[in-house]
Amino acid sequence: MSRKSERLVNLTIALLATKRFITKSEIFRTVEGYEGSPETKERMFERDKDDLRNLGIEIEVGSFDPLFDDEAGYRIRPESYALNLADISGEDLGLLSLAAEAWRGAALDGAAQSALLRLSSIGVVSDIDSLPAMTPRLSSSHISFETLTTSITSRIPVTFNYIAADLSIEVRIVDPYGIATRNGHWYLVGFDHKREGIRIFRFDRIDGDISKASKGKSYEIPKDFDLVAQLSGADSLLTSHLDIRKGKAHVLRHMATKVEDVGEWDRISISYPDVERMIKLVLWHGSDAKVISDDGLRTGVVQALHELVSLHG
Amino acid sequence: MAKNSTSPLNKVARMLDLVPYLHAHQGIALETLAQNFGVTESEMNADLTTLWMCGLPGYTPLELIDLSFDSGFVTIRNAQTLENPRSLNKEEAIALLLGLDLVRSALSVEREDLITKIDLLSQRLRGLIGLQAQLKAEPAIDGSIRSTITRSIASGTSLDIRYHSLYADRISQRTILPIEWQNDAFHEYVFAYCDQAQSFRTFRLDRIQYANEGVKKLKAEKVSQMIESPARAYRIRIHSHLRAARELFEFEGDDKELHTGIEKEISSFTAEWMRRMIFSAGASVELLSPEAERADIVSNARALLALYEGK
Repeated sequence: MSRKSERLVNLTIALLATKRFITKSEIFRTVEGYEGSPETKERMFERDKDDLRNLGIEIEVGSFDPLFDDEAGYRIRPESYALNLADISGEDLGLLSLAAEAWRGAALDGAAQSALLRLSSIGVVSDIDSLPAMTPRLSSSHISFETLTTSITSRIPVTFNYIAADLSIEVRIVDPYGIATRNGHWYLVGFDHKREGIRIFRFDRIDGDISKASKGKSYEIPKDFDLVAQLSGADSLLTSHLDIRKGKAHVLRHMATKVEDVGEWDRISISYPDVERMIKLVLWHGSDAKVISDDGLRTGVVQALHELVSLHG
Repeated sequence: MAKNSTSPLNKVARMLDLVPYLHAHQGIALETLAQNFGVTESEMNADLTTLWMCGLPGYTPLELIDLSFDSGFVTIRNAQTLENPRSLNKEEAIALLLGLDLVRSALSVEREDLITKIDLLSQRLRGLIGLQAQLKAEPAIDGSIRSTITRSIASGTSLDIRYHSLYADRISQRTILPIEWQNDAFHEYVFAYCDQAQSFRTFRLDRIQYANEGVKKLKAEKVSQMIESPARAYRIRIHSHLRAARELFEFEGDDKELHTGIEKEISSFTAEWMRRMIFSAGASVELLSPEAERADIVSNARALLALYEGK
């Protein structure tokens, strides 16, 4: 086992140290650990190349002399191998440490810690003292991020089982456009192949895990896609007017864009993206809130009240 | 990270990361080193021993990596080729990007200097992995606060909390005795007895900035006598919107078998809360019993309808 890891480290060093491309036969001759028949060595080398690529190390293939049809040569360019974030200050490193710390106990904890380990090898001392004391945390999720992160970076569609509003399970194929957290939940936003539109998926409504879609073709993310707007539904806000009792219905009051004193009640204006959710919220407040404007919200609330009466009557 | 620490590929990754790390931390204690890399000391010893045999082709003492670690402190020489840390992979860059966005949203607007720094760092990280997709993170509810409260509900001990009241926009210190979790379609709340108010209050979880065991002990038995009645059982029938009902009522046990028409028993300390739940579920959830509460739903809904239709 340690023979293999030793060979891989030696191969990395050899390919990294060379300025010119080196050929396979040179590698077999000089890099320690390539033994056996020519076929065995060949197979070993192919596997080793794959392994290094899996570690994210880019191996360049080229030839010695463009004028001759030479044997292919290999090398690792130091520029592509080494971390290059230009100048990093102690304060930058402090911010990155906080960023990594946010994952403690959550999905990408391991990746965040190994990134931090590498950043701390740059030789800059992290300056945490100049930063405000805070420990923001990312919420955990049952979804493994591995497929998701490769998909969003390589732009490959993903597929998963999604729990619909009636708890039935549907297979979805989605081009991921972004990942976000909101109110302690994780969301995937992307283009839903079947629905032919952008949809939002909550991680805890995904049954099982996410995998790469088998027939997935690479996609482009529209230039005008705006994750934040998409999540808040900001492009299609509805506005309603409500009366709320004084000193009550604080959640609605907090959402108000305008508050007007009308005696026993306060009249507020609110903007919201989703009428269904808003109906629930108004109903939640019972007799402390009443929709004044003549719109879908009012109709929805009145209808729900009629249904409540007939259901329980 | 420690889970697969012995697989050859993980070992290679670790050894490649060890060289620049040691270069930046010459003379580090073996124990600390193992800890920082999330492996045992003997695993770290094995890594260092392997690394000691690696070097440039030729593998003469001149070309080999020069390590000294037998005294319990590790130094490295002659490893120029691997001296610079490896670039970040996609997962690592995304972890940092999401983390940075979280830190950014937690910073106050006055720290414009740091926000600018974060934006620059994010730009560079995105460039590193050629990322097009967008990432957005918001501070989650502090998991430790949630577990402190859950523990306190189970053990009947009081808590000192710092609470941001939305209505008064004021931060106050309170001693509470948490009684149960409650939630609507939007937020999580803790229903508790509040010493300052000398009454029961509902606190929104994301507004609790801090929670710790109370200095002043509130007696659980005394408080429970003050509750109108102990937790009451409510029987409901779910008619539609199963997913919403499941998320709202958080049924215990296996809820994979939920279907329309199913009846469930839930318990709550407050009739008021239950009424709000049923109301906000629209007609998708029916309250079957207690009979009196069921009648209340009707009279409340009628009164509200009168309010709408009267004017």
